[in-house]
Amino acid sequence: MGVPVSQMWTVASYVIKQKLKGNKRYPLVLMLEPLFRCNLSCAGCGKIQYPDHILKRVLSAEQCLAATDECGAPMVSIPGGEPLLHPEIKQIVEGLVARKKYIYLCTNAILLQSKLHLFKPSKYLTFSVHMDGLQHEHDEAVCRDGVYEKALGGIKAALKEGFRVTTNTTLFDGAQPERAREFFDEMMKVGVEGMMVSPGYSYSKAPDQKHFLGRQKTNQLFKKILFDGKRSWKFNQSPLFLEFLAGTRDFECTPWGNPTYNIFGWQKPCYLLQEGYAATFKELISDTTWENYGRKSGNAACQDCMVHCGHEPTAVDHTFGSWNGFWSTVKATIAGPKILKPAPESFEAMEITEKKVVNG
Amino acid sequence: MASSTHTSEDFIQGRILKSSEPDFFEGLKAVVDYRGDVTLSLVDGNTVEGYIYNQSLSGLEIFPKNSPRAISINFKEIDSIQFSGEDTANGKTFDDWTKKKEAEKVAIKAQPIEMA
Repeated sequence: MGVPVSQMWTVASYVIKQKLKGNKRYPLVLMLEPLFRCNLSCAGCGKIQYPDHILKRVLSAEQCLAATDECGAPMVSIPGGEPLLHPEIKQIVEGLVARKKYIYLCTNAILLQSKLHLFKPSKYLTFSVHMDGLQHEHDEAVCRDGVYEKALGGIKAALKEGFRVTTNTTLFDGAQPERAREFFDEMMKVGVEGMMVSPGYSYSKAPDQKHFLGRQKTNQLFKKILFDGKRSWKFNQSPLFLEFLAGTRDFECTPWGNPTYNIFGWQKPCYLLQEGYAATFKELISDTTWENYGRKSGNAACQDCMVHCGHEPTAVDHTFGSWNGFWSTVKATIAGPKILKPAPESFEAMEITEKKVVNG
Repeated sequence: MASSTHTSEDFIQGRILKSSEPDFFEGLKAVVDYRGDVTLSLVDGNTVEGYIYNQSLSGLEIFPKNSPRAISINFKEIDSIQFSGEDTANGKTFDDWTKKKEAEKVAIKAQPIEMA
Protein backbone atom coordinates (compact mmCIF):
# COMPACT_ATOMS: atom_id res chain seq x y z
CA MET A 1 0.00 0.00 0.00
CA GLY A 2 1.35 3.46 -0.88
CA VAL A 3 0.32 6.95 0.20
CA PRO A 4 -3.45 7.14 -0.28
CA VAL A 5 -4.59 9.14 -3.29
CA SER A 6 -6.78 11.20 -0.96
CA GLN A 7 -3.67 12.34 0.92
CA MET A 8 -1.84 13.26 -2.29
CA TRP A 9 -4.92 15.11 -3.50
CA THR A 10 -5.30 16.98 -0.18
CA VAL A 11 -1.69 18.14 -0.24
CA ALA A 12 -1.74 19.01 -3.95
CA SER A 13 -4.95 21.01 -3.74
CA TYR A 14 -3.76 22.78 -0.58
CA VAL A 15 -0.46 23.85 -2.19
CA ILE A 16 -2.17 24.97 -5.40
CA LYS A 17 -4.67 26.98 -3.35
CA GLN A 18 -1.81 28.73 -1.52
CA LYS A 19 -0.16 29.50 -4.86
CA LEU A 20 -3.37 30.91 -6.30
CA LYS A 21 -3.78 33.09 -3.21
CA GLY A 22 -0.22 34.33 -3.69
CA ASN A 23 0.73 33.07 -0.23
CA LYS A 24 4.50 32.63 -0.39
CA ARG A 25 4.99 31.45 3.16
CA TYR A 26 2.55 28.68 3.91
CA PRO A 27 2.95 25.74 6.30
CA LEU A 28 2.91 22.23 4.93
CA VAL A 29 3.38 20.10 8.04
CA LEU A 30 2.76 21.25 11.60
CA MET A 31 5.40 19.79 13.90
CA LEU A 32 3.38 19.38 17.06
CA GLU A 33 5.55 18.56 20.06
CA PRO A 34 3.08 17.88 22.88
CA LEU A 35 5.87 16.98 25.33
CA PHE A 36 9.64 16.66 25.51
CA ARG A 37 9.72 13.61 27.80
CA CYS A 38 11.07 10.47 26.17
CA ASN A 39 11.77 6.90 27.22
CA LEU A 40 15.02 6.91 25.26
CA SER A 41 18.04 9.18 25.30
CA CYS A 42 19.45 9.00 21.78
CA ALA A 43 22.93 10.29 21.06
CA GLY A 44 21.93 12.48 18.12
CA CYS A 45 18.87 14.05 19.72
CA GLY A 46 18.95 17.59 21.06
CA LYS A 47 15.24 17.73 21.90
CA ILE A 48 14.97 16.30 25.38
CA GLN A 49 17.70 17.93 27.47
CA TYR A 50 15.59 19.89 29.94
CA PRO A 51 15.13 20.04 33.72
CA ASP A 52 12.66 17.52 35.16
CA HIS A 53 9.84 20.02 35.72
CA ILE A 54 9.96 20.94 32.01
CA LEU A 55 9.95 17.29 30.96
CA LYS A 56 6.84 16.74 33.09
CA ARG A 57 4.90 19.50 31.34
CA VAL A 58 2.65 18.69 28.39
CA LEU A 59 0.44 20.55 25.96
CA SER A 60 -3.20 19.71 26.62
CA ALA A 61 -5.26 18.14 23.84
CA GLU A 62 -7.15 21.44 23.65
CA GLN A 63 -3.90 23.40 23.13
CA CYS A 64 -2.76 20.93 20.46
CA LEU A 65 -5.99 21.25 18.50
CA ALA A 66 -6.07 25.02 18.83
CA ALA A 67 -2.51 25.20 17.42
CA THR A 68 -3.56 22.91 14.56
CA ASP A 69 -6.49 25.17 13.69
CA GLU A 70 -4.32 28.27 13.98
CA CYS A 71 -1.65 26.86 11.66
CA GLY A 72 -3.92 25.33 9.03
CA ALA A 73 -1.37 22.87 7.60
CA PRO A 74 -2.92 19.77 6.00
CA MET A 75 -0.49 17.40 7.72
CA VAL A 76 0.50 17.15 11.36
CA SER A 77 3.60 15.39 12.55
CA ILE A 78 3.68 14.55 16.25
CA PRO A 79 7.25 14.13 17.39
CA GLY A 80 8.51 14.90 20.87
CA GLY A 81 9.72 13.42 23.18
CA GLU A 82 7.77 10.23 22.88
CA PRO A 83 4.13 11.08 22.06
CA LEU A 84 2.83 7.74 23.34
CA LEU A 85 3.81 8.89 26.86
CA HIS A 86 1.32 11.77 26.57
CA PRO A 87 -1.72 11.18 28.81
CA GLU A 88 -4.10 12.65 26.19
CA ILE A 89 -2.58 11.23 23.02
CA LYS A 90 -5.84 9.43 22.22
CA GLN A 91 -7.81 12.70 22.39
CA ILE A 92 -5.18 14.55 20.36
CA VAL A 93 -5.26 11.97 17.57
CA GLU A 94 -9.06 11.76 17.60
CA GLY A 95 -9.32 15.55 17.36
CA LEU A 96 -6.91 15.66 14.45
CA VAL A 97 -8.68 12.83 12.61
CA ALA A 98 -11.97 14.68 13.10
CA ARG A 99 -10.30 17.68 11.41
CA LYS A 100 -9.20 15.41 8.52
CA LYS A 101 -5.55 16.13 9.14
CA TYR A 102 -3.03 13.55 7.94
CA ILE A 103 -1.10 12.61 11.07
CA TYR A 104 2.37 11.16 11.36
CA LEU A 105 2.72 10.03 14.95
CA CYS A 106 6.48 9.69 15.38
CA THR A 107 7.29 7.03 17.92
CA ASN A 108 10.20 4.86 18.98
CA ALA A 109 7.51 2.14 19.20
CA ILE A 110 8.65 0.83 22.58
CA LEU A 111 5.08 1.36 23.81
CA LEU A 112 3.31 0.93 20.50
CA GLN A 113 2.01 -2.58 21.00
CA SER A 114 0.63 -1.81 24.45
CA LYS A 115 -1.03 1.46 23.33
CA LEU A 116 -2.55 0.34 20.04
CA HIS A 117 -5.95 -0.15 21.67
CA LEU A 118 -6.16 3.64 22.10
CA PHE A 119 -6.37 4.18 18.36
CA LYS A 120 -8.56 3.20 15.42
CA PRO A 121 -7.03 2.46 12.01
CA SER A 122 -7.66 5.39 9.69
CA LYS A 123 -6.28 6.74 6.45
CA TYR A 124 -5.51 9.89 8.44
CA LEU A 125 -3.29 8.18 11.02
CA THR A 126 0.20 6.82 10.33
CA PHE A 127 2.65 5.56 12.93
CA SER A 128 6.05 6.80 11.82
CA VAL A 129 8.45 4.54 13.65
CA HIS A 130 11.98 5.68 14.44
CA MET A 131 14.32 3.07 12.97
CA ASP A 132 17.90 4.15 12.36
CA GLY A 133 18.91 0.92 10.65
CA LEU A 134 19.15 -2.77 11.33
CA GLN A 135 19.50 -4.08 14.87
CA HIS A 136 23.15 -3.14 15.47
CA GLU A 137 22.89 0.37 14.00
CA HIS A 138 19.53 1.15 15.57
CA ASP A 139 20.39 -0.01 19.08
CA GLU A 140 23.64 1.93 18.87
CA ALA A 141 21.87 5.10 17.70
CA VAL A 142 19.28 4.96 20.47
CA CYS A 143 21.90 3.97 23.06
CA ARG A 144 19.96 0.96 24.31
CA ASP A 145 20.11 -2.72 23.41
CA GLY A 146 16.90 -4.49 22.45
CA VAL A 147 15.02 -1.46 21.12
CA TYR A 148 15.16 -2.62 17.49
CA GLU A 149 13.41 -5.88 18.33
CA LYS A 150 10.84 -4.08 20.46
CA ALA A 151 10.14 -1.56 17.69
CA LEU A 152 9.88 -4.31 15.10
CA GLY A 153 7.31 -6.05 17.30
CA GLY A 154 5.35 -2.79 17.50
CA ILE A 155 5.45 -2.31 13.72
CA LYS A 156 4.22 -5.84 13.07
CA ALA A 157 1.42 -5.51 15.62
CA ALA A 158 0.26 -2.20 14.14
CA LEU A 159 0.33 -3.57 10.60
CA LYS A 160 -1.64 -6.61 11.70
CA GLU A 161 -4.34 -4.35 13.14
CA GLY A 162 -4.59 -2.46 9.85
CA PHE A 163 -2.77 0.75 10.75
CA ARG A 164 -0.65 2.72 8.33
CA VAL A 165 3.01 2.38 9.35
CA THR A 166 6.10 4.09 7.97
CA THR A 167 9.66 4.30 9.26
CA ASN A 168 11.80 7.38 9.80
CA THR A 169 15.54 6.97 9.63
CA THR A 170 18.25 9.46 10.49
CA LEU A 171 21.68 8.75 9.08
CA PHE A 172 24.92 10.00 10.59
CA ASP A 173 28.57 10.02 9.57
CA GLY A 174 29.86 6.47 9.51
CA ALA A 175 26.62 4.99 8.19
CA GLN A 176 27.32 2.01 5.94
CA PRO A 177 25.48 2.29 2.59
CA GLU A 178 25.21 -1.47 2.15
CA ARG A 179 23.68 -1.84 5.62
CA ALA A 180 21.21 0.95 4.85
CA ARG A 181 20.19 -0.89 1.67
CA GLU A 182 19.75 -4.12 3.62
CA PHE A 183 17.65 -2.17 6.10
CA PHE A 184 15.38 -0.87 3.30
CA ASP A 185 14.95 -4.45 2.04
CA GLU A 186 14.09 -5.59 5.54
CA MET A 187 11.50 -2.86 6.14
CA MET A 188 9.83 -3.60 2.82
CA LYS A 189 9.74 -7.28 3.73
CA VAL A 190 8.09 -6.38 7.05
CA GLY A 191 5.45 -4.54 5.04
CA VAL A 192 5.68 -0.87 6.01
CA GLU A 193 3.91 1.56 3.69
CA GLY A 194 7.02 3.63 3.06
CA MET A 195 10.25 4.92 4.53
CA MET A 196 11.55 8.38 5.30
CA VAL A 197 15.27 9.10 5.42
CA SER A 198 17.15 12.18 6.40
CA PRO A 199 20.66 13.15 7.43
CA GLY A 200 20.98 14.10 11.10
CA TYR A 201 21.15 17.73 12.15
CA SER A 202 23.94 18.99 14.35
CA TYR A 203 21.83 20.07 17.33
CA SER A 204 24.08 22.13 19.58
CA LYS A 205 22.52 20.32 22.55
CA ALA A 206 22.96 16.75 21.30
CA PRO A 207 25.37 14.66 23.37
CA ASP A 208 27.14 13.30 20.28
CA GLN A 209 28.70 16.09 18.22
CA LYS A 210 31.17 13.97 16.30
CA HIS A 211 28.97 12.18 13.83
CA PHE A 212 26.91 14.79 12.00
CA LEU A 213 27.31 14.85 8.24
CA GLY A 214 28.64 17.74 6.15
CA ARG A 215 26.96 18.54 2.83
CA GLN A 216 29.41 16.76 0.50
CA LYS A 217 29.50 13.72 2.74
CA THR A 218 25.70 13.68 2.77
CA ASN A 219 25.64 13.69 -1.04
CA GLN A 220 28.19 10.88 -1.25
CA LEU A 221 26.42 8.76 1.33
CA PHE A 222 23.00 9.08 -0.28
CA LYS A 223 24.42 8.49 -3.77
CA LYS A 224 25.85 5.22 -2.51
CA ILE A 225 22.63 4.25 -0.78
CA LEU A 226 20.19 5.24 -3.50
CA PHE A 227 22.11 4.62 -6.73
CA ASP A 228 20.60 1.70 -8.57
CA GLY A 229 17.91 1.59 -5.89
CA LYS A 230 15.48 -1.28 -5.88
CA ARG A 231 12.01 -0.83 -7.35
CA SER A 232 10.63 -2.52 -4.26
CA TRP A 233 11.76 0.35 -1.99
CA LYS A 234 8.93 2.74 -1.22
CA PHE A 235 9.71 6.15 0.23
CA ASN A 236 7.11 8.22 1.98
CA GLN A 237 8.66 11.47 0.78
CA SER A 238 9.17 13.50 -2.35
CA PRO A 239 11.49 11.83 -4.91
CA LEU A 240 12.90 15.29 -5.58
CA PHE A 241 14.02 15.45 -1.95
CA LEU A 242 15.88 12.16 -2.43
CA GLU A 243 17.55 13.65 -5.52
CA PHE A 244 18.53 16.64 -3.38
CA LEU A 245 20.09 14.37 -0.74
CA ALA A 246 22.13 12.62 -3.39
CA GLY A 247 23.28 15.91 -4.93
CA THR A 248 21.38 15.58 -8.22
CA ARG A 249 19.59 18.87 -7.56
CA ASP A 250 19.91 21.73 -5.13
CA PHE A 251 17.18 23.16 -2.95
CA GLU A 252 17.17 26.10 -0.60
CA CYS A 253 15.56 25.66 2.81
CA THR A 254 11.91 26.54 3.45
CA PRO A 255 12.13 27.09 7.22
CA TRP A 256 8.45 28.06 7.58
CA GLY A 257 7.31 24.86 5.80
CA ASN A 258 7.26 22.74 8.97
CA PRO A 259 6.47 25.15 11.82
CA THR A 260 6.96 23.80 15.33
CA TYR A 261 4.65 24.25 18.29
CA ASN A 262 5.45 23.09 21.82
CA ILE A 263 5.00 24.08 25.47
CA PHE A 264 7.06 27.23 24.87
CA GLY A 265 5.01 28.45 21.90
CA TRP A 266 5.83 28.71 18.16
CA GLN A 267 9.52 27.99 17.78
CA LYS A 268 11.64 30.48 15.83
CA PRO A 269 12.65 29.94 13.10
CA CYS A 270 12.32 26.19 12.50
CA TYR A 271 12.14 22.71 13.96
CA LEU A 272 15.90 22.53 14.43
CA LEU A 273 17.05 25.97 15.51
CA GLN A 274 15.77 27.45 18.72
CA GLU A 275 15.99 31.23 18.63
CA GLY A 276 13.03 32.18 20.76
CA TYR A 277 9.28 31.68 20.59
CA ALA A 278 6.32 33.52 19.14
CA ALA A 279 2.99 33.62 20.94
CA THR A 280 0.98 33.05 17.76
CA PHE A 281 1.53 31.41 14.37
CA LYS A 282 0.80 34.73 12.69
CA GLU A 283 3.52 36.39 14.75
CA LEU A 284 5.97 33.59 13.85
CA ILE A 285 5.38 34.15 10.14
CA SER A 286 5.31 37.94 10.22
CA ASP A 287 8.04 38.70 12.77
CA THR A 288 10.76 36.21 11.84
CA THR A 289 13.51 37.58 9.62
CA TRP A 290 13.41 34.62 7.23
CA GLU A 291 16.21 36.04 5.08
CA ASN A 292 18.60 35.14 7.91
CA TYR A 293 18.07 31.40 7.40
CA GLY A 294 18.89 28.84 4.76
CA ARG A 295 22.19 28.19 3.04
CA LYS A 296 22.15 31.35 0.89
CA SER A 297 21.84 33.52 3.99
CA GLY A 298 25.34 32.51 5.05
CA ASN A 299 24.01 31.53 8.48
CA ALA A 300 26.58 29.05 9.81
CA ALA A 301 23.91 26.92 11.47
CA CYS A 302 22.26 26.31 8.06
CA GLN A 303 25.31 25.50 5.93
CA ASP A 304 25.38 21.73 6.42
CA CYS A 305 21.68 21.24 7.06
CA MET A 306 19.89 19.06 4.51
CA VAL A 307 17.19 17.84 6.85
CA HIS A 308 13.77 16.95 5.52
CA CYS A 309 11.82 19.44 7.65
CA GLY A 310 13.35 22.37 5.77
CA HIS A 311 13.95 20.90 2.33
CA GLU A 312 11.01 18.58 1.74
CA PRO A 313 8.60 21.56 1.72
CA THR A 314 10.86 23.11 -0.93
CA ALA A 315 10.60 19.93 -2.99
CA VAL A 316 6.80 19.93 -2.70
CA ASP A 317 6.62 23.64 -3.53
CA HIS A 318 8.85 23.01 -6.55
CA THR A 319 6.51 20.26 -7.73
CA PHE A 320 3.53 22.57 -7.81
CA GLY A 321 5.43 25.76 -8.67
CA SER A 322 6.06 25.02 -12.35
CA TRP A 323 5.36 22.52 -15.11
CA ASN A 324 9.03 21.61 -15.03
CA GLY A 325 8.80 20.81 -11.30
CA PHE A 326 5.60 18.85 -11.80
CA TRP A 327 7.01 16.90 -14.72
CA SER A 328 10.26 16.14 -12.82
CA THR A 329 8.20 14.76 -9.95
CA VAL A 330 6.05 12.63 -12.23
CA LYS A 331 9.17 11.24 -13.94
CA ALA A 332 10.92 10.55 -10.64
CA THR A 333 7.80 8.91 -9.23
CA ILE A 334 7.44 6.59 -12.21
CA ALA A 335 11.09 5.84 -13.01
CA GLY A 336 12.58 6.42 -9.55
CA PRO A 337 14.69 9.39 -8.44
CA LYS A 338 17.62 10.29 -10.67
CA ILE A 339 20.74 9.36 -8.72
CA LEU A 340 24.19 9.83 -10.24
CA LYS A 341 26.74 7.06 -9.95
CA PRO A 342 28.84 7.54 -6.82
CA ALA A 343 32.52 8.41 -7.31
CA PRO A 344 34.97 5.58 -6.66
CA GLU A 345 36.40 5.60 -3.11
CA SER A 346 39.80 6.89 -4.25
CA PHE A 347 38.26 9.97 -5.90
CA GLU A 348 35.92 10.70 -3.06
CA ALA A 349 38.40 12.25 -0.65
CA MET A 350 39.85 14.31 -3.49
CA GLU A 351 36.41 15.54 -4.53
CA ILE A 352 35.48 16.58 -1.00
CA THR A 353 38.81 18.38 -0.50
CA GLU A 354 38.41 20.24 -3.80
CA LYS A 355 34.86 21.30 -2.93
CA LYS A 356 36.07 22.59 0.43
CA VAL A 357 38.69 24.71 -1.33
CA VAL A 358 36.09 26.08 -3.73
CA ASN A 359 33.71 26.85 -0.88
CA GLY A 360 36.59 28.53 0.69
CA MET B 1 29.56 48.70 20.03
CA ALA B 2 32.11 46.80 22.09
CA SER B 3 32.15 43.07 21.50
CA SER B 4 31.22 40.73 24.31
CA THR B 5 33.93 39.47 26.60
CA HIS B 6 31.81 36.39 27.37
CA THR B 7 32.39 32.94 25.99
CA SER B 8 29.99 30.01 26.32
CA GLU B 9 32.37 28.43 28.83
CA ASP B 10 31.66 31.37 31.16
CA PHE B 11 28.11 30.19 31.68
CA ILE B 12 28.43 27.03 33.66
CA GLN B 13 26.49 25.91 36.71
CA GLY B 14 27.13 28.27 39.58
CA ARG B 15 27.89 31.39 37.50
CA ILE B 16 26.08 34.56 38.52
CA LEU B 17 25.25 37.22 35.93
CA LYS B 18 24.69 40.63 37.55
CA SER B 19 22.44 43.15 35.84
CA SER B 20 25.09 45.76 36.60
CA GLU B 21 27.62 43.94 34.38
CA PRO B 22 28.34 45.80 31.14
CA ASP B 23 27.71 42.62 29.14
CA PHE B 24 24.44 41.75 30.90
CA PHE B 25 22.29 41.80 27.76
CA GLU B 26 24.88 39.84 25.81
CA GLY B 27 24.91 37.29 28.64
CA LEU B 28 21.14 36.87 28.41
CA LYS B 29 21.64 34.86 25.19
CA ALA B 30 23.47 32.27 27.28
CA VAL B 31 20.68 32.35 29.88
CA VAL B 32 18.05 31.52 27.25
CA ASP B 33 20.34 28.89 25.70
CA TYR B 34 21.09 27.23 29.05
CA ARG B 35 19.34 23.85 29.42
CA GLY B 36 19.08 24.02 33.18
CA ASP B 37 17.20 26.01 35.79
CA VAL B 38 18.34 29.45 36.84
CA THR B 39 17.54 31.54 39.90
CA LEU B 40 16.54 35.12 39.34
CA SER B 41 17.21 37.51 42.23
CA LEU B 42 14.87 40.43 41.86
CA VAL B 43 15.48 44.02 42.94
CA ASP B 44 12.59 43.75 45.44
CA GLY B 45 14.44 40.95 47.26
CA ASN B 46 12.37 38.05 45.95
CA THR B 47 13.78 35.12 44.02
CA VAL B 48 12.29 33.02 41.20
CA GLU B 49 13.76 29.64 40.28
CA GLY B 50 12.88 28.05 36.98
CA TYR B 51 13.61 27.50 33.30
CA ILE B 52 14.00 30.52 31.03
CA TYR B 53 12.92 29.72 27.49
CA ASN B 54 12.48 33.06 25.78
CA GLN B 55 13.63 36.64 25.73
CA SER B 56 11.21 39.32 24.62
CA LEU B 57 11.91 42.99 24.01
CA SER B 58 11.03 43.85 27.59
CA GLY B 59 12.04 40.83 29.64
CA LEU B 60 12.45 37.12 30.13
CA GLU B 61 9.84 34.37 29.98
CA ILE B 62 10.24 31.68 32.58
CA PHE B 63 8.51 28.50 33.70
CA PRO B 64 8.93 28.73 37.50
CA LYS B 65 9.87 25.37 38.98
CA ASN B 66 6.75 25.06 41.13
CA SER B 67 4.17 26.72 38.93
CA PRO B 68 2.07 25.36 36.07
CA ARG B 69 2.16 28.65 34.18
CA ALA B 70 4.93 30.64 32.55
CA ILE B 71 5.47 34.24 33.66
CA SER B 72 7.28 37.25 32.20
CA ILE B 73 9.79 39.20 34.23
CA ASN B 74 10.82 42.66 33.11
CA PHE B 75 14.56 43.34 32.78
CA LYS B 76 14.15 46.25 35.20
CA GLU B 77 13.06 43.85 37.94
CA ILE B 78 16.17 41.68 37.69
CA ASP B 79 19.16 42.13 39.98
CA SER B 80 21.06 38.98 39.05
CA ILE B 81 20.69 35.57 37.42
CA GLN B 82 22.40 32.51 38.80
CA PHE B 83 22.91 29.41 36.66
CA SER B 84 21.73 27.34 39.59
CA GLY B 85 20.51 24.06 38.07
CA GLU B 86 22.45 21.35 36.30
CA ASP B 87 22.96 21.93 32.57
CA THR B 88 21.06 18.91 31.27
CA ALA B 89 22.67 19.18 27.83
CA ASN B 90 26.11 18.85 29.32
CA GLY B 91 25.95 15.06 29.05
CA LYS B 92 28.38 12.52 27.79
CA THR B 93 25.74 9.97 26.90
CA PHE B 94 27.21 8.92 23.59
CA ASP B 95 30.72 8.68 24.98
CA ASP B 96 29.48 6.58 27.88
CA TRP B 97 27.56 4.36 25.50
CA THR B 98 30.50 3.78 23.11
CA LYS B 99 32.83 3.09 26.06
CA LYS B 100 30.35 0.53 27.39
CA LYS B 101 30.07 -1.15 23.97
CA GLU B 102 33.85 -1.25 23.58
CA ALA B 103 34.19 -2.83 27.03
CA GLU B 104 31.60 -5.45 26.05
CA LYS B 105 33.49 -6.30 22.86
CA VAL B 106 36.75 -6.64 24.81
CA ALA B 107 35.03 -8.88 27.37
CA ILE B 108 33.61 -11.13 24.62
CA LYS B 109 37.02 -11.45 22.96
CA ALA B 110 38.60 -12.27 26.32
CA GLN B 111 36.24 -15.21 26.92
CA PRO B 112 37.85 -18.63 26.41
CA ILE B 113 36.68 -20.42 23.25
CA GLU B 114 34.80 -23.59 24.15
CA MET B 115 35.93 -26.61 22.21
CA ALA B 116 33.23 -28.89 20.86
